Amino acid sequence: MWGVFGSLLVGLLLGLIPGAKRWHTTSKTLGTIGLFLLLGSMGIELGGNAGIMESLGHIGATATVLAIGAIAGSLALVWPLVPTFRKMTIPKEKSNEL
Amino acid sequence: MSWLILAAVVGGMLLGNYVLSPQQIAFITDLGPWALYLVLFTIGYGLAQDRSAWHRFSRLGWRVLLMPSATILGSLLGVALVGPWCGLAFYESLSVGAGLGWYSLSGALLSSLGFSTLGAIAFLCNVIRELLAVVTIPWLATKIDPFLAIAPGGATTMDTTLSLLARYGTNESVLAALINGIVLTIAVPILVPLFASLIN
Repeated sequence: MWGVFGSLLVGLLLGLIPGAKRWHTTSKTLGTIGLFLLLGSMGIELGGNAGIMESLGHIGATATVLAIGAIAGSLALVWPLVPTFRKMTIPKEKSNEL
Repeated sequence: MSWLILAAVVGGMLLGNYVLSPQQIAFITDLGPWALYLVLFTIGYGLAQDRSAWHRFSRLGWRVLLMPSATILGSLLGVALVGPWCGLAFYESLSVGAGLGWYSLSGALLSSLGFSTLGAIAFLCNVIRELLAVVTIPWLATKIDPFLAIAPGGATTMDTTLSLLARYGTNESVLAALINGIVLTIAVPILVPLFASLIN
């Protein structure tokens, strides 16, 4: 938890330094590399967990149905909020274009 | 890009299951958090440079809590509806759904409370939720709306899936995702034992 906030905070602070915009492209590239490392390591961790791979057959269907239910339910309730969030956060000139 | 994301996860799973030794898996697993910190660092760096996003986001005020509330209620409603199909009682379904994508904690909590099978279901359900979120976020954020793409990730929108939301969404949606993830992370250790205590 502290690592999550700490890394975000360090990024925020360094991004505020004058002239930090010069490193914007480098930062984006590093972010993409980090993203694929993160997803790859997540996959390796799951694939290497014998318990998960074995239980996929037994309780996988139940877990999948529940996961789909949870995602569908959250999408259904978040969807009506989207216009409010969009209207209040999109710059005026852009919202006029929409 | 979405295919590359899917390929990274599936390729990783295949490598972990068939190719790598337990020592290599342990080494890579230890590197995972550092990759996460690198991504979060770059997200923070990007957010700092878009100060107008903070200003626009602050206009939401208390409404910012609507997103996590809807995500929690929607997740619970969804599992309550499909739970009977899976042979689960009402509160059993809710205790699984209350994991909100945080698989390690929800599974461990239910197992430690004496519900070992339910703990295994919660663990796997929330693993699958995270995998489905990884697959659906790019599509939802680019084709429908970046704010809607926050919903599938649940509690992971403050870490793992935040990287995807940052890549495909807007700075405003990243801020909303961060708050959503923090609120849900606080809610999981409260909701899972609460619903588990109501199981007969």
